[in-house]
Amino acid sequence: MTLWRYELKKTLINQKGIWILLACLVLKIVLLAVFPEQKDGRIMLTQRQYDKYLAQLQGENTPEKSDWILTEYADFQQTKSMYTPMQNAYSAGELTEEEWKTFTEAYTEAELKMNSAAIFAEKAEQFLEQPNDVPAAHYIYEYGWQSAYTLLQFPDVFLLFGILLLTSLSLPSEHQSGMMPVLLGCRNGRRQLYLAKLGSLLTVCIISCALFGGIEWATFQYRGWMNDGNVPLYSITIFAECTLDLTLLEGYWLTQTVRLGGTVLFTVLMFGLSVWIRSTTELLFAGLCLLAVPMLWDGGAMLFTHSGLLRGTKMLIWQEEMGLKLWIPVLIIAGYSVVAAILAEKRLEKGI
Amino acid sequence: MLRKLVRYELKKQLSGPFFVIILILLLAVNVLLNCGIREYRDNAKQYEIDVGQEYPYGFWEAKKNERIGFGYTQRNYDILNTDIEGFAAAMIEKYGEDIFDPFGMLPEETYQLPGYFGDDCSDGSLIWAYSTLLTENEDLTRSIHKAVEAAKAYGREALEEGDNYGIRRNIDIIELYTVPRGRITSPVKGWDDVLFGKHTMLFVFLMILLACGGNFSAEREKQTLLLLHTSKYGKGMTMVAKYISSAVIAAGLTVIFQLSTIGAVWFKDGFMGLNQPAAAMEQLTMLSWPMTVWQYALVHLGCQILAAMLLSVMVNSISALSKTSILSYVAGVLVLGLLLVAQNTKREWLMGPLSLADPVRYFDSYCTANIFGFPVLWVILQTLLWTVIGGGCVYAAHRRFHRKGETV
Repeated sequence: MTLWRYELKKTLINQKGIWILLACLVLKIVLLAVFPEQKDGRIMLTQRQYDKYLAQLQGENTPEKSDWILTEYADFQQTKSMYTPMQNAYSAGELTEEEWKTFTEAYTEAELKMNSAAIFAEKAEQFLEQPNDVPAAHYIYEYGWQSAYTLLQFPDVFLLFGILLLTSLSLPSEHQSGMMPVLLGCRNGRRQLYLAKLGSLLTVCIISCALFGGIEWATFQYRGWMNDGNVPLYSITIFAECTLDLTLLEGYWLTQTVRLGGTVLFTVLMFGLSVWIRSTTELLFAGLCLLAVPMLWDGGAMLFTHSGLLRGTKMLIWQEEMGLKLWIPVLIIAGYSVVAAILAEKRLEKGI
Repeated sequence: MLRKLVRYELKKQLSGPFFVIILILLLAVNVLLNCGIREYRDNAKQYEIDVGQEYPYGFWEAKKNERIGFGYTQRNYDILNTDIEGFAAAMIEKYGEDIFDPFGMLPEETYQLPGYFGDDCSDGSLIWAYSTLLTENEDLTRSIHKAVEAAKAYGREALEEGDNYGIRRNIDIIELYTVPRGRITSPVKGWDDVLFGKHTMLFVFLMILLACGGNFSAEREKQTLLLLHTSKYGKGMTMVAKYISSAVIAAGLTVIFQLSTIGAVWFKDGFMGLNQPAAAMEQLTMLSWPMTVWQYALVHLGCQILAAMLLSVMVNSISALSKTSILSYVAGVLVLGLLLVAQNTKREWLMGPLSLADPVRYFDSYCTANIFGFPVLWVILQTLLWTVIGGGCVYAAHRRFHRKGETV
């Protein structure tokens, strides 16, 4: 326990870990503050009409609601397409003033409502393509959740970079400063040193995850992105084809939990690797490659890498696509990360 | 002496086992990303959605079928090009004027053997190939014609407004686009994957970061800096040698990774159309100069090598300005990360030297900047700008590296 405390102090104070994490936290807050809401551009043009449609449709989708909005949209399209023939007819004197006035009023209404109707008609089409044996999707103001899940589809780069930096300062810095032979030579040096260092890193990792996650949650709440959290996940566009039986809020917490697990396992693996990769910079580089390279593949197989688990939104989509229980990839990743850590501990016990 | 120093620096940078392992791993990942596994996966998934059944072919079987199809297409175009004019005239005479209509149905008799070229090939498949070429050539001519017409209109407008830049730019466009591009006689396959793929240069940048990130800062950490400064050729030459060796590594890595991509794409599809006009590729329809695919590929590779070299200069300078290797790598990662993020903003000047790594943005139109009323190619401007900034970086590194009384 004393060793763990010393290591914690060394990581946070001597190696300036607390400043590194704070800098990463500040960067994360800046990103969260400036990240724009992923709003459909068409709403900007007709916000009031959008609100009116939302008030009419809000709640669980029913066939009547879908039919109504699709018909409304089709009517507007037809009205718009009739403009030129009607104008020609009016110019040729085939329409009375009254008829032309009625048409232009209908046309103006179509122009006004077209964009908003199109947005909801697209949603209705999305909902129609979803299977019938799952609870009905809901019409909600989806852009808050959409923005949150857009951010969640990338790993928390700032947190991971901070943790990776601290991991690469842990054992490798002992090697580089020449302290390792001294530490290995002392009475309780090897196993306990390894466990204390790993323990302190994991403590920092879990606290940082909670802190970063908490700030993320608070920012999302402050920006009003997490309203209507109890509707099915597939109510928002990003999950339109993902029929997982989760609500938006449940999906969010599942994502955060898996990200916490993924970050812890990533730390365990990198710490294990640091026994073999003894240079700080090389370990940092290896960690970056381990995180970045799998992201280029963009497929379900990535669920079996740390990077895949850390891509919250994508993780949920891939899980549904592959029809996998989530614990299987988590267990596999935990398996190889822990095995690497155990092998590293054995290696360290042998002495370097 | 410099050559010896460069050799020594090269050895120092490349000899670590970690560098070799990461190089091999990234090369393997690059090959994996380009060899067609992803396309196979997507095809299988699409098939399952469309047909509702499992895709009937394994990866190797699908590959074999694709190869057969590719060979067949290539053979068709080879046969067709032996007498393309005669074939066209004969087909019109035999089947009528509409036979090359791309949306028309071919009569049954066109698939009977022997065809125009004998027992080897039916007329039907060659008619299809010829009408594809005809459409491509017509589309190209139409696009070029439109560009020239637009340039004339804009040029007249600029003349009325007294806009010198507009006048010069539109005259250039008219001159450039009226030069004949040559006829497309076969489709271009494979080369577009090599030239417009996104991942390969990312691996090169990562390797440059690894190779150059600790170039100067490691000397400081290992306390060999004073030794270098006091040695006979130490002061100026060591620094120059470090920069030269890094540039050589950057160029070498670019070539190696591009070759691995070429190998992977060759395995995936094979190549066709190396001597065709570069404008035959969809992304380069509006290329301003009449180049063939291989000529454009060389220009493209040249730009990528330049981007890699400029990045190596920046990373080396960061290393020279950093106290420790870890600081140098962290700064390098931040700079590289920001430049990569900027690649999505479509603002060339924000992307730094990395914009030259994907130079198609400079060649898919007559892409110029207004410099005192003269149209200057963006690609030249970016090269000059980043070379000057690179020079500034080297100067700053020189000041830092050779600071008197430097403590190590």
